[in-house]
Amino acid sequence: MMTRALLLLVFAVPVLQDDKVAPLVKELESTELRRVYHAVADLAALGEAALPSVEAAAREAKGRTREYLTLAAEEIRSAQATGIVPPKRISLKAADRNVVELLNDLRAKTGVALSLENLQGEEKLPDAAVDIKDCTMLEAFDAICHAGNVTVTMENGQFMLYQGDYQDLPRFFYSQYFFRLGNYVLMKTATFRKPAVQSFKIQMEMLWDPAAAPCRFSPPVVVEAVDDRGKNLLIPPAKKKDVKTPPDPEDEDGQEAMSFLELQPPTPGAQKIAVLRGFAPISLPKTKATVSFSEPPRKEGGPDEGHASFEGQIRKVGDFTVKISKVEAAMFRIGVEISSTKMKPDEIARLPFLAGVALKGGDLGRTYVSLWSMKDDVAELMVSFQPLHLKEPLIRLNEDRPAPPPVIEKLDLSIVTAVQERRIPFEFRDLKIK
Amino acid sequence: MRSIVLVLLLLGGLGALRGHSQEDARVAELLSKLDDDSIDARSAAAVALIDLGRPVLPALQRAAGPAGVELKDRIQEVIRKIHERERLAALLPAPSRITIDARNLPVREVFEKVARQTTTAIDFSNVPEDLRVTVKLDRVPLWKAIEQICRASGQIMMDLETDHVVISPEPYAALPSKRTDLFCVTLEKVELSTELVFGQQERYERFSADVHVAWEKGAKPFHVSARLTELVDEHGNELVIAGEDSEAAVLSTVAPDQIYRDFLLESTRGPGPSATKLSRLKIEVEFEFPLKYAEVRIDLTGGKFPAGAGCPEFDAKITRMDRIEGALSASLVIVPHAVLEDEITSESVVLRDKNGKEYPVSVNEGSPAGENETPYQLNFPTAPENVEFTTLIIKVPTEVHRERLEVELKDLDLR
Repeated sequence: MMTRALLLLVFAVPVLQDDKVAPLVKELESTELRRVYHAVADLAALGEAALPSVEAAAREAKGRTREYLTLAAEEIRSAQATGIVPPKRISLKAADRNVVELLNDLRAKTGVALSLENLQGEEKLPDAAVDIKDCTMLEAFDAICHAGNVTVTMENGQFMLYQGDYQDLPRFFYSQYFFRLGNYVLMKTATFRKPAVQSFKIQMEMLWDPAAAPCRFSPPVVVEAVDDRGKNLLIPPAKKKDVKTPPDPEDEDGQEAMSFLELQPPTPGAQKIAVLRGFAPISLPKTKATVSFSEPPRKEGGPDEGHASFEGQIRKVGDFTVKISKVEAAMFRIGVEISSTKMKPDEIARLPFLAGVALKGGDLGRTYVSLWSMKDDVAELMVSFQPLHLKEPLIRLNEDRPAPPPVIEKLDLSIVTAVQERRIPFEFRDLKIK
Repeated sequence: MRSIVLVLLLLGGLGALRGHSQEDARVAELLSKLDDDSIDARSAAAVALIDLGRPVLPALQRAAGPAGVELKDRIQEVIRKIHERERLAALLPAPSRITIDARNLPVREVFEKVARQTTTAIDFSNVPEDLRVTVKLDRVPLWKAIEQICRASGQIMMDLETDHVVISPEPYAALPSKRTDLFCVTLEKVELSTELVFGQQERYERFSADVHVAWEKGAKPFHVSARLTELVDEHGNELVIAGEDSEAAVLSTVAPDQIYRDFLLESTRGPGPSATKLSRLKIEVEFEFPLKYAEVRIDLTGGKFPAGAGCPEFDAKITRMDRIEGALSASLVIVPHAVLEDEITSESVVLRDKNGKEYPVSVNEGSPAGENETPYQLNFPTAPENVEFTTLIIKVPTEVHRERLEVELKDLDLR
C-alpha cells in the first residue's frame, strides 16, 4: 500500500511540474518582452524539481523560445550555488505621493539599500502617481524614479539618486539586474593604408540590486541584432578583434559595468534596430572566507583610543591572515593586509573581495575594495567607504553643522574563493535610430 | 600704384643679387606681395622670403627704408625671423642628406647605407631579406629619402617609434604628409563619427585627425604643438575656419631621444561618417627651440639648507634635500624676476656630483609656497647614497624661436 503511494508520488511530481511549466513555456512566445522574461524567472523559481521538464521543453522548442528555456535551466542549476534568492515581485499603487516617501516604501517592502540623502535638498520633489503591478524591485524603483524625475546612477556598487534629469532611455529588466542603453555611435575610420572601415557601437550600462552584486564582469555578448531592413548586424567571428578587457570590478568605473556593444553599421535608411539580444556574463560569489573586526569593548575608566583600537587587529580564516594596518576614518578608508600560507601576494590580489562597514548607530557604508600595494608576503587592500545614511529620518540634514567623521563599529571582509558564472540576458526591440 | 612704385624701388635696390635675374624678380615679386590686400598672400610671401634666408637681407633692409609703417613692420618681422632661423641653424644639426644609387639592391642593404648617413636610428630588421629595390637619391633629406625608398619598393612602409624609425613589410600607400629638411608631418588616420543618445534628437558630429610629427634626431624641439586650422568637406562647407580659434594639442616635454609625437586633433564639427572626401585639411605645427637660457648653479657642498642662487631672471632656492624611502628628493622654490618662457621640467635641472657625474630628475608640482614663488618637488631616483653632490644647475629658456610649419592637404580620399 505504502509502495503504491510512493510510486504515485514519484510519478505525480513531474506531472505537477509539467502543469506549471507548460503555461510558462507558452508565455515565452509572448510578443511582450516583460512577460517573456518574467516567465523565464518564474521557470527558474520552480527550482530543481522542474529542471527535467524545462530541459525536455528546451529540446522540443525552437529559436528564441529554446534559448529562453535553456537560460531558465541554467538559472536553476546556478541558483543553489550562490544562495541569492530570486526577487519577489511586488505591487505598489499611489496617487500624489512624495517621491521620497514612495522610495522609502519600496525600501521597506524589499529591503533594498537605498540612500535618500541626495533627494532631501532645498526643493521639494514633486508628488507622483504610480501604479505598479507584479514588478521586480528594480522595475518598481525605475517606475518611481521616472514618475518623480529622479536620476539613478550606480557608484561603487550602490545606487545614487539625484533630483531631476531622468532620461527615458531604452531599458531592460531581468531579475536583480537592469540594463539601459545610452548613446550610439556610427564611425568611419580612414587610415589611408587600407580601405576605410565603418563601425557601429551602442553604449550599454548594467545596474543591479546591491544584494546580488557581481564580483566580476565580462564583456556582454550579442547573440542577435537585426535592423528593420533585415540586415544582420552581428560582426562575423572572423572580423571580431580587440575583445574588450573585462572591466575590473575593483575599479571604481568598472563597478558601473559600462560597455559598448560592437555591431555592423545598420543599412543606410534603416529607422530601427528590430532586435538586440544577448547576455552579460557575470561572476557571483560562490564560496568566501569572511573575517569580522569590531571595536573591542572599552575598559572601564580607560582612555578612548578611537579607531586606533582597530589597528593591528589580526584575524585568521582558512589559509588567510588578515590584519588591519591603518584606519583613516576622516578619509573614509581602512587599510588591510592579507597574507596566505598557500598563495603569493599577486595571486591574492587577483581574488575578488567584498567588504561591509557598519558605522555607529547601525548604519551601513557604501564600500569598495581596491588593491593598494603588494609587499614581500602581503597584499595590501584599501577598503573605502561612505556612509549610506539609511537610518536617517526623512528630513533635510542640517548642512550648517559639519558632519563629524564616521565612527566605525565593524568591518566584514570577504575573500571570494570560488565564483559561480551566470549569464544575465538582455533584449531590446524596435530601438529607434533616426 | 603704390605697389608698382615699391617694386621699382626694390628692383633698383637688388644690386646684391645682380646676376641672378630670375631670383631678383622672385624677391621683388615676394616683396610686392608682402603689401598685398590678402592676408593669405602676405603670409605666403613672408614664409617664402624667410625661406630664402640671408641672401635677401640686403634687399629687405633697402626696401624697409622707403616703406610705409605697416610694410616696414612686416619687412622687419621677416628680417628678425631670418636672423632667428640663422641662430637656430647654429644650434640645430645640419639635416641629413642621403645619397644612394641602388640598382636592384636588397632593401636592407639600402637602409644600411641610409643609416650610415643619419644619426636617426632606423630599424629595418623586419624587412624580408630577399626584398630588392632600385632607387637613386642625390643629397635628399632623410624623410623624403625614406619615402622615396618605400615608394620605389612598393612593399614597405615607414612607422615611428618613440626614438627610432621602423620600416615594416606592408604594401606601400602614399600617406598625406609634408616633409621638410628636418621635419615630417603625416596624417595617419581620420575618424568621422555621428553620436546620438537614444530617444533624443541632438546629433554630435565629431572629427578627429591622428597626426604624427617627426623630427630628425638632434633637431628635438623644446615644445611642439599642433592645431587644426581648416577643414572643408566635399561640398565646400567650412567646418573649421581658418583664423578661428581652435585648441592646440601641446606636447609640453620632449624626452631626450624622442623623435616623434602623435597628436589627436579634434573638432566638434565634422562631415559625418558618410563623407567620402575631405576637400581641404590644414594643420599648423609649431616647434619651439630655446635660443637663450637663464641659468643658476646652487652650491650643495656642505649640505646646508636652505641653499640658493640667483640670476637676473630668477632666484632658486633648495629648502630641503633628503631621502624618502631611499630615494633622494628635494624641494625647490623659484622666484621669477621676469616672465620665463617655461616652467621647470626634468630637462631644466641637472644634479652633479663631485666627479662631474650627472643624475636625472623627475619634477612635480610642490606644496603651495609664498606669493610669486613657484614650488617644485624634485626626485632623483638613481642618485646613490654615499655620494657627495656638489651642484644643482637650473636653466630655463628666456628666448625661444617658434618655427611654424603649415600643412595643407587637399582632396583626401576617405573611401
